[in-house]
Amino acid sequence: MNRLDKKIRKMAKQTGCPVSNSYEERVEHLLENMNGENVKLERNNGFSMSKAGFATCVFCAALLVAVPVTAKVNSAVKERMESMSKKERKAYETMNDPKYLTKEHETEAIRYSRELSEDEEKREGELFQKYEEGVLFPEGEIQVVDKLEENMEITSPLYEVWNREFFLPERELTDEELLQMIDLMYKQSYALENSDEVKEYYKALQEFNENPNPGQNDMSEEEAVAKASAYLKIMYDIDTSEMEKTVGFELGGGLVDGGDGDYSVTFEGKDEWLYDVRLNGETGILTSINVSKGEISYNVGHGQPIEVDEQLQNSIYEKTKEKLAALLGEDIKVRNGNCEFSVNEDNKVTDAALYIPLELDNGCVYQFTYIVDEDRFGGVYTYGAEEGADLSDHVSREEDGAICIPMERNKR
Amino acid sequence: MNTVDGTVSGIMKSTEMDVMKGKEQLLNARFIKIVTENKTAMFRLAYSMVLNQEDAEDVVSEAITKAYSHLAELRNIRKMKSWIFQILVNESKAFLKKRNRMELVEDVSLLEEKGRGEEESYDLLEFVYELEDTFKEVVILYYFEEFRVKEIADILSISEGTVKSRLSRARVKLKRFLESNNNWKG
Repeated sequence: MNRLDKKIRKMAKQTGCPVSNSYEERVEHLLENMNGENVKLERNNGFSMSKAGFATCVFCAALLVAVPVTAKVNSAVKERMESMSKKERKAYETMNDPKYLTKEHETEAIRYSRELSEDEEKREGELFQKYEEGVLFPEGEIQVVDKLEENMEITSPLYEVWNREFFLPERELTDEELLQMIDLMYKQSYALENSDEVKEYYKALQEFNENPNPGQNDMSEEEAVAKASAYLKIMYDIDTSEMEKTVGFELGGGLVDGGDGDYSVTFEGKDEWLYDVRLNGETGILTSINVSKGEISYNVGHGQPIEVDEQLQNSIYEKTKEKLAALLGEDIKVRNGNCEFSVNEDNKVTDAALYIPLELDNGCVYQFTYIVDEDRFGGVYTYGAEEGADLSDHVSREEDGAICIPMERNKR
Repeated sequence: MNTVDGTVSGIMKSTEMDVMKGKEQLLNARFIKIVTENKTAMFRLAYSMVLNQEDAEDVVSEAITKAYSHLAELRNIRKMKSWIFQILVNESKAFLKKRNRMELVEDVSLLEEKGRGEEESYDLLEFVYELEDTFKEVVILYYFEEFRVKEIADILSISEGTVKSRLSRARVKLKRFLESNNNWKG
């Protein structure tokens, strides 16, 4: 974080925001009513889904969020969507094939070759509203290409199916062009929502919610609790026997292959320390450990700036490798590993924490947080091996201005 | 609440219902704690979007009620705070859609009330409220509520890249504002 950001945050901290007494009372009243009755949980057990299926659904979710066709569709829009021929609908549906899903698409359905200008963004919002109200549709259709030809000159917007990207000319877009883009997104969403694959997904999800048992291949809750306790003993040398435990079973995040989902085992001590351990239902492989105390998350650092010299970096890095070997219960071969942190003007580590991702020979990446000022480990995340992925896919802190020191390369 | 004692036999004794009940109570307690601690922040975010005190209060109440009724669907307890803020943003946007923005009479009474003894901060918040919606959201969430870029991306359902790009553009405007108020020397 730079000096300007710090200044703004400091000013923001000093900002009071007066709220009326009636507002305070209203919120308190709402919460009092909730306090008496716990929310009723439904077991989410035994839903089996392949990694590809999960990817499709992440993709569906992103697209449906971008253009929520299901929400009370205007009759004119509905008519427009339903007037698509089968062939046309199939073409739009094909555009949603998960093979076009890349990492960037997980939170944003379609990319743009350039950012929209402020005016374009404003007009796009207004036109979208008019489109949704059924009062304005484009006269023509946007040009769609499978793959953009090399050195192709972009004089008007076109949509590249392969990369799921709008390629835009440098000039300002006209209303008609923006409407054509909206039209394409809307039709894609409609086709997606009405595709057999998505219908099957919702059917399977319903069955998953109704089925109270984890899948046949998954371990029992007792085994999951024992495994989670063992992980915490290794990581933090804590005894969980006196801690409150809650166990859940959830659809896996696709991070580690195997089983129907992840067990989530939460341990809470009387001292407010909370450890949430997620592990693969079938293999027991650790997916993540989230550590917090009260409202403070130990997945990130919160300490005062602290000096961390090279010797300390090396020692923490080696300690992390030892922890990982202990967690996995085997010798490990680390292919790549970083020591990541942010520094202030005095070259001190700003949040007193080091972030250490380790990539093993099998392609799995384990990311640890080390809280330097408290000399303890924070949270852990596991990323399963992905084809074509490497450590750099899991390093985002560099983009935030952090320093990333490649530790294994330094040794060579 | 019944708890398991950590031994295999102890775990065997604890019924599924006990565990579920424990999780329900944990969720409930966390929900109430987070809302209580963040009610002012929630109001600030809602107000920045709807720019009217009564409407902001309505939006927050609606968001709290909605979040509570969907609490069972929350998959990751550690993301509860950003999940509540995500619902709040969606509620604010849904409210704005319903309301004809052209008829909006900006409620300045709250802003006028604010200045007392907090000249510098008051000006900053007032300036933020006047930013375009896309900037306002990221500025409030990043600088005032101190969410991380990834969390903001989740809350606003946009990519991390878009958050960074909006922050970067907002930063230019904030810098100009600070410079014009003699609060910043680059």
